[in-house]
Amino acid sequence: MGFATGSIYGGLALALVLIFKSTHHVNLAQGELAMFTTYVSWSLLRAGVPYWASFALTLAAAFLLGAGIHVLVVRRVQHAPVLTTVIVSIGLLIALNGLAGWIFQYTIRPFPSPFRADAWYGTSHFSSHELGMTLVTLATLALVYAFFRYTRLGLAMRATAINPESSLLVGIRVDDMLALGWGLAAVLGAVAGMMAAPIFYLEPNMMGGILVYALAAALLGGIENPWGAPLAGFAVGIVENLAGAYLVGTQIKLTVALVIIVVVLIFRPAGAFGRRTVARV
Amino acid sequence: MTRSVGLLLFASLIAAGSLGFFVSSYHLFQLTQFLVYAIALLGLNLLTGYSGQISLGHGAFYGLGAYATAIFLARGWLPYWAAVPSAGVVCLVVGFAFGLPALRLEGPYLALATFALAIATPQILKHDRLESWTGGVQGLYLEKPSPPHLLGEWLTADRWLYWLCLASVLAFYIVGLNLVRGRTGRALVALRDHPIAAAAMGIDVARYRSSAFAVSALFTGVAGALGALLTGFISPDSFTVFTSIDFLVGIVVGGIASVFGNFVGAAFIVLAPNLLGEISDAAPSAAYGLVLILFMILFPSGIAGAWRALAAGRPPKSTRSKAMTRRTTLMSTLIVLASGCQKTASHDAPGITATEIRVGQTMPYSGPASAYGAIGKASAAYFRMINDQGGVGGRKINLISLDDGYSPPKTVEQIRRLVEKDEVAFIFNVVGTAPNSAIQKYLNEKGIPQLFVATGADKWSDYKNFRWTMSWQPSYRVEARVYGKYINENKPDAHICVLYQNDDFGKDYLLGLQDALGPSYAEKVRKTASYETTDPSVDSQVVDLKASGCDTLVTAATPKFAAQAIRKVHDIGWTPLHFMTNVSISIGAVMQPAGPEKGVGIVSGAYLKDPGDPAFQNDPAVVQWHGFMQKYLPSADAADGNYVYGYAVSETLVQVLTQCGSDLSRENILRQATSLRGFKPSLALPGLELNTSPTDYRPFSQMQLARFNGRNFERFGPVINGE
Repeated sequence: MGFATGSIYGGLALALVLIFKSTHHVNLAQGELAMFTTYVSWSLLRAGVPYWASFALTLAAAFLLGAGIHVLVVRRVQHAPVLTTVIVSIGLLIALNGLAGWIFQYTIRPFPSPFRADAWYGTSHFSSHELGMTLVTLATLALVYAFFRYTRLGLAMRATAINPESSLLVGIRVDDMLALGWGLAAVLGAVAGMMAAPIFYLEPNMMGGILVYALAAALLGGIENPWGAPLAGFAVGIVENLAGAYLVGTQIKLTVALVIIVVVLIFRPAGAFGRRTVARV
Repeated sequence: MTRSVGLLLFASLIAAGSLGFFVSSYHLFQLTQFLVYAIALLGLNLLTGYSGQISLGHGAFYGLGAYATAIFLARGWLPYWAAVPSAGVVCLVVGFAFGLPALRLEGPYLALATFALAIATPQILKHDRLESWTGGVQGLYLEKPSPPHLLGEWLTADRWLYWLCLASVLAFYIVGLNLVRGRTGRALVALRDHPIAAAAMGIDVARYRSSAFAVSALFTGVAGALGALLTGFISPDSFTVFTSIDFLVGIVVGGIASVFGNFVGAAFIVLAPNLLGEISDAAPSAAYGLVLILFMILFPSGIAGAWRALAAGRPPKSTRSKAMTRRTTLMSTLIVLASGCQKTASHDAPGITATEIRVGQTMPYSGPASAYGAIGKASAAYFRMINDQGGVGGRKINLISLDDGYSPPKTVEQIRRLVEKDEVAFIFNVVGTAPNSAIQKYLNEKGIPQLFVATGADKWSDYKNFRWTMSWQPSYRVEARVYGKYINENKPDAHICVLYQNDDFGKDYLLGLQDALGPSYAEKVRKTASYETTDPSVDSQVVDLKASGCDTLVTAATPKFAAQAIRKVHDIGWTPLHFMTNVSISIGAVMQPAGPEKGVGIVSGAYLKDPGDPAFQNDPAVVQWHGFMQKYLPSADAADGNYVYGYAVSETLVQVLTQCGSDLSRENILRQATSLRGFKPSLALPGLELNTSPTDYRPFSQMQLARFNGRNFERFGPVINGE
């Protein structure tokens, strides 16, 4: 069970890392964005659109939403102090949560899983959905890695993240790369949301707690390291469950999980898999 | 130059001090709250603004200061004037202890560590082991400091506290200004902007940074202490991560690394929710989020940053806008924010005129509990319906329902406003144990009925000490006693597990089971597992409970978690005797999402009809309810049980008001509320009725057990009188 929820933490963590890598900001609204796009998918399904078609449409919508938010909102505070962007992402979080509650109401919605419950690969310990979800996360990770490593666009995005000024000089359209980053992150979030909803039930506060763990996972894995995020996600999921079951009981399991993460960070301040960057005066 | 500034300061101090005598106690509360936040924000700004260490966890220090003070006072160890500084010292030490390991962390990593602190704090405060100190989920009450006999009756406790806070603000701001304008401030700023260069110049990084943490914690801790004295009641869930986020919002809106910007930020935190509640009552959260974003786009360096830029004669750093537009936007924003303070003309009678009955209410329309806002919407719609039919005794019911975000300090503020500015007749159906606890004393002292509180905690039937406060729904504890009794009688050798929400709602079920099982509780209840509302899922708790070998399960969970539990219990092949809290037995909102076949056999103590239950399809009351929903709440989700609850409790209120006849004094309203005899709300289960008397403040003390058969809940057995 911890493994399965871990893959959701990992998926959302990957989205967080993606935005951080491209913009050096943590997007606290990532979870709510994921929840909102999952509601888009739910609306499509309710209108009768078949699952995979609505999945694809939702990803497209998520991309547009993410890129759109960057262009309309984030771009305007690009040159502001770091904390201003933090508050903007908090504002987005609150706004998306409120909008979802207003438009879609608060009753929980069951959400279908594309992995049939009685599929051949389901076992009593790992349901078919949990296994499928883990595979989807790993596949997404592979795709993201391939994108950054082997495509020109990915290269351009990496360059933008490392050195925006030089990238501009070389002719890379930095602003577009940033918007692309937001769009892709939103897509990853949507995937996480659509994988999570069948297990957790879709409702406006679905992703709140998941964001906390995803944030922890992203940082634990090293906020700049895309590989670290999903791995850390699994670790967080497992630790959370073990802590609750065997160590301290459920009353402070969240606390314990976070404390463990913080302790790890103290000993490895750039994350378990992160690299210490050398800064010059 | 300095002399005129000094004179100005002195004059404004005198003005501020005397202000306490001229404003209503509602505005005084707001002012004092504003001062408290100003100190808290100064603390955070020292750390995050000047020292550059992001803290998403200052709510924890605020809460720590509050709890330290409450404990010192509750145990009688210290009087208030020593308790508050001592709480500050406690926070200083804890802040330093936290600051030391935090030295290793930078930027987002530090933010996460402080975030972890914010999340951990309510959990630790609620823990069983600390319950005897912290009061656990029930919280702690604080006495307002009693004023010295200086000005006789003129110096009320409220005004005295206001003066104390004013003095504290003065003291802290003088210290703060000295810090930031002196060597320390320069060192901190150097450390923030160029840490390596600063270290190379000989600035002791470790000392300055951890001291910054310690001092910042001290400031915010004292603010928390004063805030606790102001509200009079604290509970663990008053200090969630949202408190920390509010503080962060405050300092950024006011202006990072600005001393006076904190006042603007504090005003924003106090006033913005109220204003937004008036602008948009449909989605105040969405409005608040949008306002934040707009604010940051317009004023990226906060108000202080914009002011500085204007004073220096150039447009502030932002995208293409002229300085004039800037100035006007700035001024109009401030004016709009300040306008929340305006008084309206006062009326004659307390809430009653020839044409209307004014009813006051707060609801969590924003924030983590906003799902319950549906209750307020249902009540508002019900009263609209009654008004359309002519009202009660020729008078229309005017429900004034304000947002409190489920935050007790906000509830206190809004209730004071309702009583003093809007002059309502009484308070009706406020949601939540903590919010109601915070206002109980105030309302009882003023003789204002606090009717039909929307929580099932058992403490609302204390007619001896709080005769103006009354509950409505069956108490959770009584419900759990009914389950315990059933187990005793029908399954005496049961092994019981309990899944419960880690707050007063969930824990009341444990207490009720203890009541019913008595000494055999320890051996019968094999294992309990709790969850937080921020947990994504309870699946792992269910798996653990099954592993302990129980054959009986009591689940005290809200709808989402209840549905998860029902589904998981079935999916892992567990078939216990499963009791479910009647909060989560709605067929549309819980049983169907879980999968109707998975909930077969679930037992609950129902008291209301479920419109989603096929057995009630043709029931006249349910048909009427559907018609009401279609006409007055067409866009609402009828599967949401809150709309049934709101309808039923509003119907009860109308009964009380009708019973009042022409005498709508507060005394008579209370008298009629305590004289309900055999009243059957139309949506109550057949056979159940409400009864109250001056010594029985439990309107709904009956329920009937029902078992889910895959389609509906079949009632069985007799109507049970929980006591």
